[in-house]
Amino acid sequence: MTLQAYQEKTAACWAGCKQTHAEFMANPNLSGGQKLAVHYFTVAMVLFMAQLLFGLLAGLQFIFPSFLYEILDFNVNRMVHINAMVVWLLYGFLGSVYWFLEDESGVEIVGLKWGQLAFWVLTGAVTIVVLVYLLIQIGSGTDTSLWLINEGREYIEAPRWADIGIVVVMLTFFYNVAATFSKGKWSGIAGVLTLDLVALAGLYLAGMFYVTNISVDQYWWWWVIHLWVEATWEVLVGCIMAWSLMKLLGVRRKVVQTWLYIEVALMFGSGILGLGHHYFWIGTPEYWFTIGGFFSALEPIPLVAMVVHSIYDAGAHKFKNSNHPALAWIIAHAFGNFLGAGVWGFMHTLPQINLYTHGTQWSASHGHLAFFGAYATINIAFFYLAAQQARGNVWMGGGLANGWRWKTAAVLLNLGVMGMTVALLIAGYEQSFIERAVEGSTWAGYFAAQNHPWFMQAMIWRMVFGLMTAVGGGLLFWDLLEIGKGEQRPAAVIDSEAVNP
Amino acid sequence: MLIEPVALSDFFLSFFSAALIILLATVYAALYAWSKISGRRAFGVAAWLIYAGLLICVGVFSYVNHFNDYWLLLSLLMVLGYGWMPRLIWKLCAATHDEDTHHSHQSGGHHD
Repeated sequence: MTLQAYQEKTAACWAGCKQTHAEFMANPNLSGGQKLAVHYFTVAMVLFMAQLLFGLLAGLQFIFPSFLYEILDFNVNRMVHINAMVVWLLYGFLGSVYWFLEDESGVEIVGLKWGQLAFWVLTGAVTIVVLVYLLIQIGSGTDTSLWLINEGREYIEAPRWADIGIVVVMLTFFYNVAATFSKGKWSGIAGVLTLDLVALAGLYLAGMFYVTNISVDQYWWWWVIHLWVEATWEVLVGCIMAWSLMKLLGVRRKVVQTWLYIEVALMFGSGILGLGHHYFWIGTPEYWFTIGGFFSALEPIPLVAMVVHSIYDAGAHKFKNSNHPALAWIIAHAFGNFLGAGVWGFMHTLPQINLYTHGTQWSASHGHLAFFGAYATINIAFFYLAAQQARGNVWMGGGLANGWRWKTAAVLLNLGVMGMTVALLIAGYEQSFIERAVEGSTWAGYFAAQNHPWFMQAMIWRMVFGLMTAVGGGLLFWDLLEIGKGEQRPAAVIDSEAVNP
Repeated sequence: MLIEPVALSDFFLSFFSAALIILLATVYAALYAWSKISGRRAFGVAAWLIYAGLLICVGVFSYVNHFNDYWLLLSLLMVLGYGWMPRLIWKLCAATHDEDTHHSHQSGGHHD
């Protein structure tokens, strides 16, 4: 292809994108906040695909260690894989809040233009950060690299300039939310959400300063990682779920809000000091064994409580809903959260056994199912709610055209993640035995465990299920772009009279 | 050291009993809720049988993890917490939804 032909093709592609974007911005079915939300959802899905791609590359490197060696090293693939996950989940949460903000407050979003600017700034920053990760993979760590290339803290490797940008974007988001509710109506969901956003932005600051003592550094680093994931994110998702259940199942606001308060009490009651299970082996005092052990053992209680409420609701509501794909993903959330966070978490959370399992593939097994079950599922459910509204609040119940697509995507994604979880559990079990218990955490023990046939076989099975997950992810993306197009029937109307006979 | 790690021979028992504690607690909660929803006594009896299994698992888990002194309090908390919580949640469900049915039926999403 000549340069001129390439330029013409690029220009045509760009013009096509601009045309699609202009058509989308003229969509009469969506409010200003919802249009901004769709921007967030679109980038979230792109990052989800990136997470799957880099996960597959990292998985392949367990089986073929020389694959892409010194071209795209394992540590870089793993970093992009996990960072993409954190960021796409955040994009999904932010988008979901923008989606329901006007509906919940009863007024247009205050400072929407700032919110739109923040979206483009954040997306530009994410793009630059990932490009720098990929282009500058090796080098010594200095103050300059900390500010411009990589901060070096696992899971939040973004350089300092991007950290500051993230905080500014979060403050803009907070302004949009707080100012809009202040101008319009406050509600229980609004209050919990606004307070949670203060904690969300505030806790991120704990990961932005550097301390030379590694124990102290890790102590604060876990505030971001644990307290975001097992406290503030849970509450944020609780707010998103509360609003979704009103729309999807027609549950009354008073019921939803009462349960939101109960959930916040249970989550914070066990989750905050559950932080202690990360302090077992970083050089903190021994009393963290007791605190971490006790509160971690209590963390599954909200999940067990959820089962009782689900059955109560199933009996009362008979699963009448207006969006089958969204409901299916909420059910996947209930099971995934319970198994991933509850069962897989408690299996290895007490120090008596965590001594062996900490940092092995066991943690990765727990992480894969817990993040997917607790957060990815909720985002996907919300994407389907958004797709329904964007296409004119159309029918998304039984007999949906091309319904095979969302069902197949859901089956592939859930089976794929579950399969990876079990394969990683086998690998982690073997590592805990060979590397930790038998070989005493020595360097030789590490390699003995890595080269053991059980480990290798588990990694091959992980790859098989990883491919299944990737195919499911691709199908999901395709379905979200197409579902509801051409559908003429209006969405089913679900109200509390219908569901509470 | 305040803890005595699990013996290598008990490794499987430790993680398996831990998983069973959460799974059985859930089955117990589900059966308890179903017995209330359906009014069938068989579900209630099954729930108690599952709870007995949960007690055995907590016992095994406490033994292989060398629980002693105040760590035994954790065993007690698990037994009481997983037994009592489904009942409390059920009462809360009944209270919130009961009030709901007495209200005038208005569609979801309206501010009260």
